[in-house]
Amino acid sequence: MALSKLQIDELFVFTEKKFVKWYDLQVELVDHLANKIEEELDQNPKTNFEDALKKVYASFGIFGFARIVREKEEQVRKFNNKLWFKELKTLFVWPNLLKSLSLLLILKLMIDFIPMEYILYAGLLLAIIQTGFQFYKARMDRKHAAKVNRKLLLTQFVFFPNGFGYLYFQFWINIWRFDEQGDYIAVNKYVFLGVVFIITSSYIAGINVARKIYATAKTMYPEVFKAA
Amino acid sequence: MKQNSQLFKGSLSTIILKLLDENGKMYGYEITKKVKELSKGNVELTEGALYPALHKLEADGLLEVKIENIGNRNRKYYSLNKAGKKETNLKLKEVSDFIIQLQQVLNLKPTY
Repeated sequence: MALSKLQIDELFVFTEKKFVKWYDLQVELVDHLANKIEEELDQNPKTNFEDALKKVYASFGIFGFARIVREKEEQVRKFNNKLWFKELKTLFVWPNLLKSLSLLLILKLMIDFIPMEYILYAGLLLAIIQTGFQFYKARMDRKHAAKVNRKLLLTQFVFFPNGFGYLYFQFWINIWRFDEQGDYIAVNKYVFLGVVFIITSSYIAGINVARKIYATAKTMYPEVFKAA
Repeated sequence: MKQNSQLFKGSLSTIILKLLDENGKMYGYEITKKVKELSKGNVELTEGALYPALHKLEADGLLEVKIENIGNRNRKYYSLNKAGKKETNLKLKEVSDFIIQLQQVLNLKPTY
């Protein structure tokens, strides 16, 4: 006996009550529960939906969905890290290598021809704008999640752009060094060049990963991205 | 006799990979049913063991995942990708070699 739409909705509410807050995991568990309940109702036609659900949930053991949720979160985190490293490596393989070398050349020309203080002012300004944008985006994401009431684990740990944004901000703050007279102490140009290059490459890789993950999420769970 | 020993747990990913290799795309519940059917009810794959193993294989980049609508709910299907097929052959060879070595060490006699 196939479950009704109303009963499926009840299963979504049930998984949420059992601390499965991720919609992508709920979809899988709801289908599993539904299959088992349908089988139970076919074998014991006198059983009702609620009793069948209790029986089926008991078969998940005393920890219920807890282990499945915990391990899935861990796997998604690892997967994102792996994807980021893979993406970072592609920046140094042809044809992306050309772009990376161009970036390095532009940075080199900048530090050769523009006074260091100006570069630092510009960098700090960019870091402030970027941080402001991050806060704005995080606020919008939270608003959207509250509207559609569905959160995806798949996109939950896409934090590399944000993480590196923070690192970038810290870098521009910490690079300001002054002596006792209040004069700026110049940093080693090439150390500066190296650090900026690494942070920028990491940041680009993070953005590429975020784009790919969101594209996958939109294909798999279009209902989450529809406006409420 | 139900068998849920560590021996089976250690081979869980190989079992999943082999089933996906033979059946193309499968979903979680279908895998538990298939294991039960193939073992004539002797091996019961619990959800607490199946899903972490499936999700690990997915995170390792061995599986392709697709969501399909089946009436009033969505279903998540898993299938092997190229790397998954390669890994399946490797794992099966490992298990096969292990069984031969175990047989040599323990000198087990078939009970049937």
